[in-house]
Amino acid sequence: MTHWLTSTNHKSIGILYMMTTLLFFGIAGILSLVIRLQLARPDQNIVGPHAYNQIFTLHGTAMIFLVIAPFAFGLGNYLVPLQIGAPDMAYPRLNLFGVYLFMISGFTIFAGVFAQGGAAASGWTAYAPLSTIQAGTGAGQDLWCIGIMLNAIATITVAINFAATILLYRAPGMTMWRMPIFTWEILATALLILMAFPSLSVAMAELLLSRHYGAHFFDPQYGGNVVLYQHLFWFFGHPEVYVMILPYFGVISEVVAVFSQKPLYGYVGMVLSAFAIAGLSMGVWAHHMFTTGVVANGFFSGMSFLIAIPTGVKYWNWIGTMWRGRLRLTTPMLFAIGFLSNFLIGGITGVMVASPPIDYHVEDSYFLIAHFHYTLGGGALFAVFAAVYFWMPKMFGIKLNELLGKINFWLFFIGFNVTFIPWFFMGIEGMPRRVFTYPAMGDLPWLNAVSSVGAGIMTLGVIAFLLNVAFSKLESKVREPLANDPWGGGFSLEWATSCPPPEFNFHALPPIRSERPVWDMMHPELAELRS
Amino acid sequence: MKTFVALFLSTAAFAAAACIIYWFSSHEYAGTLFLGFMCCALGFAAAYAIFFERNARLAGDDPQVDQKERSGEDVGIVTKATPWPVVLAFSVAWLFIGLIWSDFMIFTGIAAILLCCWRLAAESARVGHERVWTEDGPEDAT
Repeated sequence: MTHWLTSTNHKSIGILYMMTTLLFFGIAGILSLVIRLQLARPDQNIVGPHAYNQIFTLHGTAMIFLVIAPFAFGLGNYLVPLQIGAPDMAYPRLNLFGVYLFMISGFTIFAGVFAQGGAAASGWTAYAPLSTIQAGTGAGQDLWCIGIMLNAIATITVAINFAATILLYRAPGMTMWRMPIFTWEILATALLILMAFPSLSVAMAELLLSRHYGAHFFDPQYGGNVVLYQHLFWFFGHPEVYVMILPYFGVISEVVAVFSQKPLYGYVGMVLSAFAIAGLSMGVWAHHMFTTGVVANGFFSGMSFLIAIPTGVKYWNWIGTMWRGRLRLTTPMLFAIGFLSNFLIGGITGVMVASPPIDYHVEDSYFLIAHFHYTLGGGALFAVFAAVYFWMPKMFGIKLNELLGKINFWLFFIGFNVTFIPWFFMGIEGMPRRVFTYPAMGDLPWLNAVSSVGAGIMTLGVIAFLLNVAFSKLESKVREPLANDPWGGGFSLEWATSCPPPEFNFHALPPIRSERPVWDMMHPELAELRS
Repeated sequence: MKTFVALFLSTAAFAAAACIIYWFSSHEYAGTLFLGFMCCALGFAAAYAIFFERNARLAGDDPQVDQKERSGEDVGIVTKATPWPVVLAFSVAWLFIGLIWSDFMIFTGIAAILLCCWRLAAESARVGHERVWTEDGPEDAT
């Protein structure tokens, strides 16, 4: 056990990342259930306003910083060396440092719960001056700032490792234009992190200096700039949205191709669109600040609209891959299709709020949080499930049960939409975000009640997943060991090695002559014909 | 390496264009600086590759190379298991919390970080963990 916990092997570290994120996902999920319980009926007081502020702050922080993005880092840690035929990551000890710093950052943030005055309560954005007021929030806010700073450092270390590994550690023959799409998306994500996350560290350092050392970065009375924090935060914050979604675009690309039994349609377009999205996302940060009235709304609106184009290219390619394919509706494929439908709603409402006149109307309302829950919950979380079902056989030699998997999918998919569709209507009716209760007016009571029922259905979906893991683990003990490619029709190198892979990943690498070496190995006559 | 350079140069050019357009549409300093730094950082990486790694011959860059041709090539020193990165992570967190709460935590944190750096450097200096490419793939040389 000690050896495993201090192992520098990328597979152990990847699993450590993913296990930790699942722990935080459980905590964040419980917090969201408390939120939905509190809001199920008007004028309730199950939790008080201060406790509610802490709960939604911790829920948002955990999902953004400790679950969605880090799960992708775990997945990338596990898969990238396998997909490019490398024995390990470029800097294994830096990798081990990064995963522990990430874990410590999470526990530091949550340690605020035990501090005097409770945990941080200024939202996951921690806007100044709300977060710089000493009287309002105590040590919990300090621990939050420190935790986020540690998290930023950990994330930068993982990005350095991904970039170096992908650029320098590819196996002989694995040129960049032969890399699987998931690896390309991880490379785009790594570059995005390296550009965006230092800004977050600076924002946190300035918050701490303001709180403890009398600095006045954000205080106009002393020559500071009140929107400087927002600039710093969103220069990180908007690229972070793509840090959370680009790796999952890669997951969906892999899953859709394998279960359409066709090579990915538009490989080059997929790669270029990933970098177009990454580049454009660096120039849209202040679309979160339209209503401050001091940013160039036209510039940020235009740049935000442009992002829809490369994202549309991706949708076109996913549909093109499925078109006339022999679709196999396995659980990972169902989650991938769920991703496509949910993310479309999130994306289209994103284009809506990129328009300043609409944004002025729905800013800080439930419409806005419905939009980002559709992109990150309906998008990234569905891709997380798709990835778990798809690669679990590779990681643990366990193939999850299909019947329980489909029950998991349908409960989660129906629950998700029942929970979040009402939020759009609540937002249009004017319900602001981050309120701990609301009056019994208009449609708000029944819309909130429906949403809370949906959260319960989603929870049943998660329970079905946990039961599936337990059942499949037991079942795997009496099953034959899995083949290298248990789904059949895999394209990339991870399907050329055993389930789970040996310590150095491969006993023998197949020749790499295209972006789908395993398929070439299985169909030499067709590979010959193509070359 | 060509793809690497093209990738970084094109992104740097995009950042430069965005920076100029942003400045003339907003006259705002913070964002202009962000985009300017982004352009410089990406340009720096591309320039490094162009001027200092021009002759680099990576195994992954050759489309026709086989495993056999790279046989015996060193792929770096790898420590299989080590507690020091873990200790270092705790030390960094300890130091950061100390910056807010206690001088004692700052001093002990710095001492622990230095100790970890020393141990990590000592590990790197140790010979005996090289991995090499063989005909079948990467293997431990020891």
